[in-house]
Amino acid sequence: MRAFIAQFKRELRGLLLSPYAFVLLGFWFLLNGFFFAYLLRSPAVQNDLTLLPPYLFGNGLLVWLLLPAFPPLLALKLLAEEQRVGTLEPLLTAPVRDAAVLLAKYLAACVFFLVFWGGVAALFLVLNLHGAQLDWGRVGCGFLGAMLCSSLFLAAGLWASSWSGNLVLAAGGGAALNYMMLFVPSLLLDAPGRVGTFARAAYLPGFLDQAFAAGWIDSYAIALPLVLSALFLFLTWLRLAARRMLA
Amino acid sequence: MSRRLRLAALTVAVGLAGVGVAMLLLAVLARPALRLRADMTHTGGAGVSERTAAALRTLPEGSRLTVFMFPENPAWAWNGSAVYPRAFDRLISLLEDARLRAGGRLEVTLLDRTSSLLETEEAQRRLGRRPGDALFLEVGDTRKVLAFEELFQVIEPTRDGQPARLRAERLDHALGNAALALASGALPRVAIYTAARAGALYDPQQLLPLARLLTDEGFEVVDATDLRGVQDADLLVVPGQHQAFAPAELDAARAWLDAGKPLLLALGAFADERVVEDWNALLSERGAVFGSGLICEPVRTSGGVIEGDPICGHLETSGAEFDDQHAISSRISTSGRAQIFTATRPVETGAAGNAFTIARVARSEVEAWLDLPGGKDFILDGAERRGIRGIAAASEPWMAQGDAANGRLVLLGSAASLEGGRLAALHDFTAAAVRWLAGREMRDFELVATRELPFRPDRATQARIDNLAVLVLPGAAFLAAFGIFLRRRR
Repeated sequence: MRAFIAQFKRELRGLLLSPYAFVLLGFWFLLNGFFFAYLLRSPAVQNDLTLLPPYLFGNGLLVWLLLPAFPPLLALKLLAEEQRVGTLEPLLTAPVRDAAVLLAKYLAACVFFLVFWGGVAALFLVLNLHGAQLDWGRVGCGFLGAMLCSSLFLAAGLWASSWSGNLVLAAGGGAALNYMMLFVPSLLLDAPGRVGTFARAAYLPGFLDQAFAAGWIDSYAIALPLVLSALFLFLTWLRLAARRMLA
Repeated sequence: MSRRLRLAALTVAVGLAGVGVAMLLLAVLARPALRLRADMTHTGGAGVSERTAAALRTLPEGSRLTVFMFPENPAWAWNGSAVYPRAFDRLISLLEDARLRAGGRLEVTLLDRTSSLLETEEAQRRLGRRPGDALFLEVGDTRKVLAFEELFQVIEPTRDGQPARLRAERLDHALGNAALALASGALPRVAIYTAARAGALYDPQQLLPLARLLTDEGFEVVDATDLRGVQDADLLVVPGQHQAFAPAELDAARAWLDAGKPLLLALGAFADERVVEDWNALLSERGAVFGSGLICEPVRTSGGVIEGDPICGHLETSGAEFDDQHAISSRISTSGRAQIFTATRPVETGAAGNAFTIARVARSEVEAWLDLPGGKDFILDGAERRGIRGIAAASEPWMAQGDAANGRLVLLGSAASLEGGRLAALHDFTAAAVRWLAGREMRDFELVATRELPFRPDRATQARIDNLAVLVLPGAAFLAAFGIFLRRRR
């Protein structure tokens, strides 16, 4: 446990002291800021702020465009970068379990991603300070859904990052995987039979839209990203274990 | 097999096993019975009520709910109105809850502008959807259609530019009522009077389309060849009458009206005058009777105005010819959708007894004239004069005894429009009339106020928020990145 905590602190410090992570954060804030300001100018939203959470966190641009792309860009720092500079091998041969290393890296990335969402939350606080009445239940659920989705995309990015030391491949592969998780079910939503049922059960934007952004805390909507995150972490661990055995 | 290959195969196998376990776990957790949900909205009413949930659980397996989310009334989208976004947001939230709480018995399909065009068209064709129809609940062969106006109460936009607003909704109640009616099988019964027209109810050229419309509206249709046998029905429809009443049947018609039961009576221009006289005698105290003659209108084309042609007997009415205040016609009036009345007899409204209120819900245009027997057909001649003529009227008592005995009456001057393919051109009016007769217009006690959270920042506030969103926050992050970079270089 102590080794895990030490590793977690190391990873978190690494991210907090990385210019790359902050440049990423800056772009995230910029794009989200544009999106937020654009939505706030929409007459429908000005007529009823209840629509802001579903427009922002639901089935919109944020989910389809930004969210799948940014976590892999952050995750590439975790394994692919270490492979590239040659620090992964010493880490994996150190007296720390692979799982502990992996979890420490993943949790550090998740915690750092809270900063990403913290900036968006600040915009809601500013709105509130300017006299806007918000449905905080919906806003909170929207953030929860977005955070869970981010953690899933980070896990997928981590898995992609474990395959090679090529940063472009790690980021591109992670993003492609994330976009596939969104697009493949969306293309099969109307399919008859089990395929359609499976697609609807795996359709993340649907849960963000119909559950979280609508103000619902839904056990399945929470379980879906958590189980898939655990699956990707398991696959990453498997990849590292195989790598160690081959070495 | 080399060690490397064996290891790769083992890794793939273990990976696939992990995928399988995850899929299995999700399949179990996705079951509606295992789903736990908590409503965190500020109103706490995002889902269906216990009453509606219980009604949904009584639905048989395979029940279907198809929802059309299309902003079809342009007036409700003017000036950035939030009517449709808000209503659709509400539909999405509530129907997902309805699906889950129905325990897997209800398949919900949401169709909107992002849905497959093919699927939307197929659903529209299968359900015979008309503009304004929002929700179709199907149980086996029976179905119930709910129009947008039946679900949401909207304040119309004003002339000074105020956008339309969603004032209240009764989505939960309407869904519960529909589920209860369809699940119990105890649908309200509508008797269609078909004396001297054997088989008309099953003939697509005659009354089959009308029977289908009534079925879609949630009625059980009964073929009534004799009025004496219909007293237990909830609604009587007389789509033209081909033979005069025998005395006993006339008594039955009087008894129906005296019992305060709703009636849709359509008599066209060529109805037997004895039939018209019988009904007029019964209806005169209600302030609406049928006149004589055929209402004609000049038809304007690019080649000029056509008169003297049978086409003048087809009255194409736009929104302006409908009463924009009455529950039957307000939706048609607002939408401006044309309805066509064929071979129409005038409906005259006058002084009703004290107990009744009367409304002329549809009328001709001012250039119309009454083509009387004797002169040239479809031409204004002799004693005929141009002027506005009533096409349909609605009468109801000030005090209704109840839903099944609300005393409501709709007189329609065209029977031909209710037959065969012509019904398609009068579908909206007929459906609205039937809903009103059944007492299904917006009921106040079922309405739930919708709470809006408006936020209209002034220019300075908007600029402050914009600056923070697109300059301050990203700028701070870029500065931090630069600072860390400089420190690392040192």
